[in-house]
Amino acid sequence: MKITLLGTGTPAPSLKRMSSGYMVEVGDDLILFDHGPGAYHRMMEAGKRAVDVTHVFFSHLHYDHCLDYMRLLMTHWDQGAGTIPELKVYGPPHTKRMTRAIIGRNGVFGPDLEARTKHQVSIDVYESRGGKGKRKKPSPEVTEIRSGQVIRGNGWAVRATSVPHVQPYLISYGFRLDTDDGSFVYSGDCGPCNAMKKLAKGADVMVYMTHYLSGTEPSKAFAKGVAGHMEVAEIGQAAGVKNLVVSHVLKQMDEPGLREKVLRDMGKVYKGNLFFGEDLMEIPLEAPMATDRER
Amino acid sequence: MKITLLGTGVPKPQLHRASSGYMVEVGDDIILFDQGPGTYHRMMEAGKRAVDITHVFFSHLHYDHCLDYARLLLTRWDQGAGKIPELVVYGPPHTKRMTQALIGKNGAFGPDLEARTRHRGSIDVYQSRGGTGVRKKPRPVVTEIRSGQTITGDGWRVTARSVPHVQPYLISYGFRMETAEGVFAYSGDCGPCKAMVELARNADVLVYMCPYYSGTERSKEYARGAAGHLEIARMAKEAKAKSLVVTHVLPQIDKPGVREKVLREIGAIYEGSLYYGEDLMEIPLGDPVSKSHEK
Repeated sequence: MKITLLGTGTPAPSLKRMSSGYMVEVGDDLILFDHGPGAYHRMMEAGKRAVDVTHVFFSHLHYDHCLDYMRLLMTHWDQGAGTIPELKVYGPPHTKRMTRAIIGRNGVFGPDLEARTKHQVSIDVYESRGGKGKRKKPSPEVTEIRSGQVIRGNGWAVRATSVPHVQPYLISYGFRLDTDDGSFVYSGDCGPCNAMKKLAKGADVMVYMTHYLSGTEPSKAFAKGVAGHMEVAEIGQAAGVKNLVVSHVLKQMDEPGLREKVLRDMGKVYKGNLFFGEDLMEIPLEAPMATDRER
Repeated sequence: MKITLLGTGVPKPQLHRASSGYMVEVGDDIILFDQGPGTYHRMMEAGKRAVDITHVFFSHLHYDHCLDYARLLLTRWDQGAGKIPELVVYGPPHTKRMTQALIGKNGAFGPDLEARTRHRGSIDVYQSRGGTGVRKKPRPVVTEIRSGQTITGDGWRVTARSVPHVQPYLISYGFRMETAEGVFAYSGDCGPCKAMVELARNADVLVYMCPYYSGTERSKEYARGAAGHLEIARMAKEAKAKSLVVTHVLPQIDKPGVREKVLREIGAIYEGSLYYGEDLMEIPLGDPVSKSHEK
């Protein structure tokens, strides 16, 4: 199992941090957890192509967690030329409607798909990519999941649990992926909650949205749906997580000196291994170790 | 007037070439011609932000020419916090429906927009960005234009004309932009045609999609909707365009040696200034001038 952070940023555009996205490789499967704007670009930089992706899980449908879905979907289909299985997509309610809004007849790319499946120019291109027979439009397998539901794959299982964020407007999930190698937990976007404490129990790696310096939240309502650094430390410690990844960081704490302060503060409460996430960082399952000097 | 190539690629994803997109700065306006996947990233690399963009023109609605529209629209609205004028968009029929499919109530980001305009947490963020009063959803000013129509802006004028591509599935335009400083013409995607020669007449800069090496087209129909390098050379010569930018090149041409061969053969027909487009290349209005060694 290999875990790579694709986008560790927020909705604020940044060349340094793309919006939320994480990639986990398990056996022959390549699973994405969220795919915000810029995550696709990072995926390319990580050496993967759209056609390599097998499954996508959406924590919630804020655009900074799912905007690159359309880029993934269209490219997976266009480059796949009918020679690969359909993409498998799991998400909260609205995921199906979002998919239709993108590729349905009257969707964003409705006319594009008509043209690419009917016009000779495009059929030529399709055939040159190995496509055979009639070109079909994309038909991803989309499942809208419920809290507590478990999705099983080849050697892995993902459990979803509702977490507090911007209810009632969006349903939001945290996820736990279990494999023989270990477990990966992802908060999506949420405030401190027992649901995440339970979900993350004994996990090898947990990525938690660590959005701001605790105490600087603009309102109680904000703090209920979004966690600060000390809340994340507390949850990581209570759940006994081995490796805790700070991600979805605002520019506020992404400054020299402040980063270090965050790690120091968190380290007082959380005794496991801390990682200050960056785009394209690979997170090991075991404890980080310094190797011999020359390597 | 400043012309920057943002995406000089094709639908096939490539890290060194984003899909189609071009940026023109005229006075206080920043105008995008197409915004394919990856061009938003390039725009950031060019030092511009979504909130800086004033106008967008879509040549046609193949995803490789418009996929980053969603990213532009949402980021501009979110970061703009109600303090900037709405985005002004021009495109062929379906542009309005595409916009609705993205930001309408039942669109891909319908629920996101409900959440961001209603939830206390998001209102806090909006206000911290300078937003005041009730937060409104994005309402870009979208006009579906016809062939022959001219759009007039502050010190610039853009004329659209139908060009042959994948009719009847998609209407496709070429554009001519006139300013006091000079004329910029853009083919969108099209085969050889009189319309482009007219649009490019005496233009200072002509950007023409040059996907393949003339003679290697798979079918006659393909060659009708997409031009090869020799056809483009002939059109640029007939139009007397002062500079010709080769763009939207397939990997077939984009190889050492083949590139040079293409340029040499175009140069044997067309005598103006020739540019082999690359992402982020700025195209001058006058002749390319070589500077002294030390600069």
